[in-house]
Amino acid sequence: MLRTLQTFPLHKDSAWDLAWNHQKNILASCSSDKTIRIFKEQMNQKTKKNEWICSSILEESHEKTIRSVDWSLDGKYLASCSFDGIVNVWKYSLKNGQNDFECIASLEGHANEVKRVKWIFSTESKNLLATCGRDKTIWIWEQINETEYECLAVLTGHSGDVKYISWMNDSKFLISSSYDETVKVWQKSKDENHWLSLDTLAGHNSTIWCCKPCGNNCILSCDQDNKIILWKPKTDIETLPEQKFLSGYSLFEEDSEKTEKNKIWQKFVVISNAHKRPIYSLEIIEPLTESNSELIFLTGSGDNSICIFSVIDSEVKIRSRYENAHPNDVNCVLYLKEKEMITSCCEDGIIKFWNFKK
Amino acid sequence: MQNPNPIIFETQKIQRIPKESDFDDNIEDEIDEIEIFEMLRNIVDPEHPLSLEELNVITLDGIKVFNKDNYVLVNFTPTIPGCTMSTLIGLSIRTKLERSLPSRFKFDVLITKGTHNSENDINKQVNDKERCRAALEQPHLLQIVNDCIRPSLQNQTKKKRK
Repeated sequence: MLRTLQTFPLHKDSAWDLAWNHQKNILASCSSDKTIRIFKEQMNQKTKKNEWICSSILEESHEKTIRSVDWSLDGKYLASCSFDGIVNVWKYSLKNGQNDFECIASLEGHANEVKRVKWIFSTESKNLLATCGRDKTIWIWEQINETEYECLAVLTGHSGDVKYISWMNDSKFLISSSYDETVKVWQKSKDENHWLSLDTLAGHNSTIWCCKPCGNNCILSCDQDNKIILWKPKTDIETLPEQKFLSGYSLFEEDSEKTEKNKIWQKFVVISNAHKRPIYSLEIIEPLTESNSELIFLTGSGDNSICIFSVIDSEVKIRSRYENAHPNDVNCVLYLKEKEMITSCCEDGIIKFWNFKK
Repeated sequence: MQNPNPIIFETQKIQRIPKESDFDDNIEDEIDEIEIFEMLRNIVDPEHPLSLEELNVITLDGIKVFNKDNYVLVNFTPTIPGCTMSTLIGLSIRTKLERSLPSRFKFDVLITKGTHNSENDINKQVNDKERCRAALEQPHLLQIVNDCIRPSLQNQTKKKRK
């Protein structure tokens, strides 16, 4: 159940994305006002209760809307990407008890708006960063050292803006969703630097704003037409034969020629009428596992509401719906597991913290 | 220029007739179609110094207001089915609505069904808030959109052309 804890009308323009640092328990938000804000919990001396405060503002690093932020898994780095085409990497440290952020690298390569950044550890335990954008491509960067980043691969195959990317099964798979109305699953070939499009999931009829793995190699995606799809693999993808990289540029033809029979992921559940406006954000609360058959997730929508869904097999239930969670589009919802909280951000720039009991 | 000699339509004498209730502070004045029409009628075409009303791109019956649902739907009709300016016109309408409508309203801006060859593509682009936001962050596009919208800021209807 949701209960509002705190509301921060700090961003002066649309707040687009939120990222939670599991290691350091701090939150980052980003906005069209070209700033990133960092929130941390602090004891209020009067009430003796913990409260969220905005502890830092990172500014003058991007010239346009900052669309997305993400923390590296080790909690040491924050990446931000912007409509100005740049990806910035920030180093986080504590100096005299204060959060300190230093912009240590600017990655250039995308032709225009960069829409998402996502960190992961590579199999060699190096930080990897995936970015995607308006230029229809996905870039994979490896952190060589703090200030040096090498582009390992540029993934082409989408025919429209790439709106969202997520890693799946550590760094084995990457999933992406696009303006071209498809979700793609990419697999790393044995040769580290090659990524192959393993499957293209067709079933949405509009821009797909978000796609996330939700356990057991299933994928959840949501779109502009208020639709959510849960995709299940037909086969055990762990046992798929390693794909071979074919020299030449026949990568995506290879995939699009796949007949329906060879498709790996299939539509398992379609949820059409839960929201009245586009669904911009998905957040997994309880993923599917071998022992858990109930998928629980959150949605943030352009109809200003936040919904909590439960899916068991193919039975969908809306556990709760919070109409007017925000006075405008809910652009992102995030689950802070350690805190039993949810945080959300909105088109009007407001960030809210909610108490959340499953 | 694609359509050098567009048909110019006589501007309709659409005007809000003040009702007695308009002056009653106890009655909430709901936003209606005429109000939206007045917001949009004087936006100009990027190619012509003509208003969307004069070009019949915006008409009163293309506008629907659902006050209870806080929703506005605007259909606009390109002058020719291949008009490459349609996305820009859609963006101008959208931007004007964003700036003028109370924030409780959601809206969609759609091409009148069957009046453009790339209807779906344009609808998709104009209603993608992320792309529109990015477009308006490009100085030259913002300039064009602002130039299109500027005449609509004058409250009264322009003097009629002879």
